[in-house]
Amino acid sequence: MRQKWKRFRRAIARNMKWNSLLMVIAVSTTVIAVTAVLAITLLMKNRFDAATDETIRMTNAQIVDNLRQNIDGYLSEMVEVSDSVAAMLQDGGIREEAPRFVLRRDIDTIAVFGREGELLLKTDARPIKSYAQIKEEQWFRSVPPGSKNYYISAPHVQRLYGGEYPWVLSLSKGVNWQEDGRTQMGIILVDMNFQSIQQLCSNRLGQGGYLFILDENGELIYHPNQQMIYYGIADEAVERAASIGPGDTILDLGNKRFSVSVRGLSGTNWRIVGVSPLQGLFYYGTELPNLITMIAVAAALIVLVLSVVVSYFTTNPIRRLIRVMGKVEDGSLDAFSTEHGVYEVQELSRSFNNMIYRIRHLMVQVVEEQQRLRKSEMKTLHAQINPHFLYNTLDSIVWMAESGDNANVVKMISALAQFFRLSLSGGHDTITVEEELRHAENYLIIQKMRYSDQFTYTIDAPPEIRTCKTLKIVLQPLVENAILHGVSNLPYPGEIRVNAEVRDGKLLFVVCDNGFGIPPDKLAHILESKAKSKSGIGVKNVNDRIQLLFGREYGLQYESELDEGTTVRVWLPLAGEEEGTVTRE
Amino acid sequence: MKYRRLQVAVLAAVLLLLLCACSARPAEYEVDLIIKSTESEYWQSVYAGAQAAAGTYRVRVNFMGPKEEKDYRDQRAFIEGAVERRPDAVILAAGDFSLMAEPMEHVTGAGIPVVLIDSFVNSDHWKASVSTDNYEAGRILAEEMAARLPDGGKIGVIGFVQNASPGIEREKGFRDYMEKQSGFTVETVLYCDSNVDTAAEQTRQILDVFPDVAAIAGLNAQSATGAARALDQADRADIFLGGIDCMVEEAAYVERGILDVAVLQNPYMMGYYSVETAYQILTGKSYEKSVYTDVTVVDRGNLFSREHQQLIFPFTGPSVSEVETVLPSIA
Repeated sequence: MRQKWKRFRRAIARNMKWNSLLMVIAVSTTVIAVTAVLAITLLMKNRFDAATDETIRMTNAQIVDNLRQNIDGYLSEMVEVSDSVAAMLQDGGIREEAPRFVLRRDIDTIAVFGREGELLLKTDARPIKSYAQIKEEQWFRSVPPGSKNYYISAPHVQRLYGGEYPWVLSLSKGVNWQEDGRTQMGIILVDMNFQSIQQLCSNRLGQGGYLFILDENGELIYHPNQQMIYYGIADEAVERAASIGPGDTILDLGNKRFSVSVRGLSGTNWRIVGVSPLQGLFYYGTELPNLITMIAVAAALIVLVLSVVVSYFTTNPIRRLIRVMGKVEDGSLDAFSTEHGVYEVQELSRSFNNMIYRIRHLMVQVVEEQQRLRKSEMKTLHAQINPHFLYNTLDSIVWMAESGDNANVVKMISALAQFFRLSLSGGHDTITVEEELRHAENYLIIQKMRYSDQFTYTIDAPPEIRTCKTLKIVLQPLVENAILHGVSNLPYPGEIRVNAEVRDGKLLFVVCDNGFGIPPDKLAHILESKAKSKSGIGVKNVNDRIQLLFGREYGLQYESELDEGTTVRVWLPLAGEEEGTVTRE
Repeated sequence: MKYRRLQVAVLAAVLLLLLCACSARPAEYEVDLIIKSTESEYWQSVYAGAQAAAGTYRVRVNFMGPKEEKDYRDQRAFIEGAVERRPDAVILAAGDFSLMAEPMEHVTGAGIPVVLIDSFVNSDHWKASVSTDNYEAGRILAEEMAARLPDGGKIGVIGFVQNASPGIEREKGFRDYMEKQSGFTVETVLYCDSNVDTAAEQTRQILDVFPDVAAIAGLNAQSATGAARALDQADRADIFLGGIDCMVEEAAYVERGILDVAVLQNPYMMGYYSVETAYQILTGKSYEKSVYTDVTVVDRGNLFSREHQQLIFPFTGPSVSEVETVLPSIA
């Protein structure tokens, strides 16, 4: 474990190059994963924001609806109370039943005033202050005595009592009734404690939300920060809400968006407005956004670590391959890569192993070929000296000299001399086609004399190729073969033709005889045969030399028909005089 | 060994990242509002204004101070306590001009910015102040009184705490204006220590010593209330009474013509601006070094006007922050 970890760290440290596969994989997967996480987070946030906005809007609307119902309830109760007071007045039984209204704690005062503001009836015992000016009060002046109209005041400080200033909503209503045979006219006042309504209104709608009430002119009736507004710190929502009708809207105030719900009250022309900021995710404070950020960061970190680990393990076989290749580079052909890991790396290892195998094989082959070349060169060297041929020729010369055939002695000796000169040719491996043809001709001259003109020969080559270069001592063994196995001992005159030409960009020698021909079974194996001609150098050696030097596309081609003759074609690379060499490197 | 070090490094990196993620959120600030009396309507109004601003600026306001203004020595402990509590800022209404200087300097020395509200201290280590221009308040009271007393006469002044900055300045503003008017003489200045009963007693003394006094000025709510009580009991509505600040009890005296004119400070806006200023300081925005809130002149005629009734009779319901978010059903 420890060992593995160490190796892992070393690999990371060594692969800290930005273009290393490990880095590329690790960084790119991390970037992709983090981008994906971010994109998903953003998408989720947007969806979430939309959902919370909708929730806020609904909650806002619900709370405002609820409040509207409650306030409507309050107001209708006040109307009911005033109606029952009016009914009791008309029944004449009010004075006895009055105290039961006091049981309601949210009603501050129920009183009936005469048309001059004089107190006629009151349900509790608190005295009205002596300096109260009832006729000046808004609630009194808004309803003509005796009329059946209602008036509901904005929340105000009631000043009926000395030293006590409750905040109330006042409902006033005209009333007339019969008493002592006369029609009395007056005003009923029902004061409802504003505190309970105010408590409802001061509820915050979620975070930063609030409620306010506007009257029919868009003037504030209630606002949690009413003083602030009176002293000049405007609430933009109030101004905007004044111009919108009942319903739910979304307003842009400053740089924030707010869900605004407006509801009309049924008892009055007031409108209740609920305002809640739409802050999406931040609606839930900073905890949830923090959590999401934390998760995103943690995910990115985990992805980073994982991608480093994964890319380490995927690139591990490649690094192994690199190590093995390094060994090969240093000259060790015994190196071998184990074939496991991901598929591509397996393939790579396999190809690499194959390659190494091939290289090893080729190297063995090269060594073998070199050895064979040396051998054939030794044989060629032998052919250059060709002692048997020399003895035989010398014997023939002796015979001719004894018989006094001086002319032929001269001819033969000069041919022999030329033959050997060309054989050695100053130690060069290559000679011109001209020289090679002359070499063959000299040989033919000598043999023709020795075989006492049993055959004739022709040598023919176009002048333009005579200067081309060729491997030496290629034709002589073929000609030798043609004489020995072809035209000697023929019952009719033998004929040997030697031609040189250029065909298909190659140099072609053709040695043709009209002799016995070669039997097919022998012909098939003629280039493999270990058997050597009597003169010591076989056609196989010629073929081997050519192919070792120039490749398999060159060499000898045999064609033979029994009793018709044999044709040997020698294919050699075409090399002009100027190139100087035709040897393979 | 190396393995361990790497572990620690990775862990540290994770924590650092998380920390960055968390600190990117807008911070919520905590501000201590240390006032002179938790019981008085005046300071409750300050608190209400502070709460209104707190809602706007994501600030939490801790309201604290001695129960009554006369216990101003107890305020020391609250101020010193801020060093321990370490709020982001302190809003201080100093109960005593010199006594609170040292504790306040401890707070500022601890790197906590201080915004003064209503009253000053004998130190210049504070960052900003929000107050009534007390000199101006005194001057306006004098001006209003002079305008309503065409014949001039002797004036008795009842101040509050001798060594609190608003008292000193109001008195100066009042005197400076009155001395320029012909026909008025400031006969005496008494200090009631912000106690209504003492103020009433001192008013009776003035009536005894100067039977022909034409007007009495109460320089704060308690002194004006005490004076009104004494005048009411002595049945001397004929003596002109002017005051600075107004409590509910005084409203009855205004209605009855005993308290003839009142200059009202705006504690609500003071509270509002103090939190706003503290927020501006904390967020490094530009702020005004001295914010002055306006005063309002109230008399019998405009006492119950829409704008003034909330200033004098604040809603007595629970403050906004204490209300449950779930609506209670109405019984």
